[in-house]
Amino acid sequence: MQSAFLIVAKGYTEKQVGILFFVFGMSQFLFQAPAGYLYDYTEQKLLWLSTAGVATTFLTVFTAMFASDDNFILMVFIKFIQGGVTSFIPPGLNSITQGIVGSVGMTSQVSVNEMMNHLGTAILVLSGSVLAYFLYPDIGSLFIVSPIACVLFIYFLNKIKPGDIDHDAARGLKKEIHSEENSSYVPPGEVEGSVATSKKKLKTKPSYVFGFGEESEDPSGAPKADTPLQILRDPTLLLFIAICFLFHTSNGTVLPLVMQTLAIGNGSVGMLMSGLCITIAQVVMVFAAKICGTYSGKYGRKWLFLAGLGIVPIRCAILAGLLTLKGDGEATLLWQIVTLSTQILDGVGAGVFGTMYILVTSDISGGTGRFGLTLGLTTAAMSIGGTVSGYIGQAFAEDYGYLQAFWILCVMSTVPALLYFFCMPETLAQTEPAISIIEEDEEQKIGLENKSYVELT
Amino acid sequence: MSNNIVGKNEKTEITKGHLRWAALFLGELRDGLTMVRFVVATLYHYHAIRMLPNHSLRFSPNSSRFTKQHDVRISIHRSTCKVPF
Repeated sequence: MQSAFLIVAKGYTEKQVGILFFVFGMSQFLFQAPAGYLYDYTEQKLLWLSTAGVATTFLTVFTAMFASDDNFILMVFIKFIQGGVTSFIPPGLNSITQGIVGSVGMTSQVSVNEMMNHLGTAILVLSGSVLAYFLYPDIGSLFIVSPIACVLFIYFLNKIKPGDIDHDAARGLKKEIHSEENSSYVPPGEVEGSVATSKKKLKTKPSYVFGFGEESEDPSGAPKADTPLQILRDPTLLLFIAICFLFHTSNGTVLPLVMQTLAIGNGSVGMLMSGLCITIAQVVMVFAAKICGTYSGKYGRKWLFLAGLGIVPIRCAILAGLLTLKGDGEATLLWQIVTLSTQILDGVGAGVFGTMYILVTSDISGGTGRFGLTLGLTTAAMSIGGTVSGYIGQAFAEDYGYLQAFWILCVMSTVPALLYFFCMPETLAQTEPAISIIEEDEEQKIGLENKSYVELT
Repeated sequence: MSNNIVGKNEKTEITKGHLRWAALFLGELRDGLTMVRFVVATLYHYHAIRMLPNHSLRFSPNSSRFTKQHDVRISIHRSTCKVPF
């Protein structure tokens, strides 16, 4: 939708804007996996994430301030850089999260992160839409929100001490408690030095061994992460990447199509409708993330994930039905409200997917030491899916009409759901305890002999 | 690098709190400036309609095409929408 700004205020044609955002999407796609690969090795995760946040804000404000017909090529270059910079954000936040709470604590902490994410977006958009309703057409002051959000993000991020992040856990290397020779962890309740541990430092610099040729044994015997080629040979991961791509290809374009069907009328009401489209979905995503955190650790990932995937075809079918009911008549207020309420389903679907894909990726990459790379691959699939989705949705609406477009998207969105149902295994590790966070007193009661790895909380 | 996790629970809870607050403000960045997006999307729709004769921005479930004037270059004067840039 930044494209709309470029068209309205900068005089770009839709084709030019299409090129800009295609370049942005492709750049994100190209940089996601390398960004994840970097996070697996670097110990400066906080610095990288902070820099990515600042750069994203700067580049977007730069575009808003300086884009013009004369410097289109420069803007293409800026969009390419911005895509690359933005791609450092998801693997950064999730690597840091896993480094703080470990793979067991990921279920609850990721759901909390996603809840806060969606809550923050919902508050910003809701307050912005109310302000814009009263300030219209003098809405320039709303643009200050993003730099303020960036400053606050940097402030809280930098309160996290680098020493709080366990970089081995961040990349998904599981430790065996009784493999003292290679483990440098001291389990809770034990005194350091009481167990004969050899503190072999794990490799923290990339070996640039991607898996081609013979694997050489490390003479020190330190645990090694899987090579990228080994990661790519995992059929579960490849299937999951395909599902992520297909889901975003079918789901990404539905919201813009809904907003286009609703945003007809005078400016102030149209503005509220547009804002509510996003706000309703974000609020529901908060609850969806909470449910995922509460139940996915107990009952597994598969059925919750399927619920999120299965919502999309239902939503598209309902939208097609609403269009059929409306026919050629005017859109009544009741019809608009009912159409708007389908955003609840968007919140469920996208909220579940947005939380669960991180958890499933964490499950799949557990023990490989390549959590960042794996998350980069899945996020890249989502990015390219979203880029493709934007084009095909508008193409369907333009060539066939909105009704046919929603039916086509309904059929398309059943494919990832069916793939997940029939082909994807349950990814929640069976050896994990049934609860995601163990309180300190329960740790002492249960003891550690039943666990195969060490929680960091 | 591994950390000695003995006695770390309280510090970890504080760290998790900071992470939560950081995530609260990250949504705007991660989604590519959501605020900007929704505001200008609404502005675009409103002014696109105003610029078209007879408000011809319509669609019909039974029609084969979504009728929209693709050749409309939105030439809103900056003073109209009063954005600073």
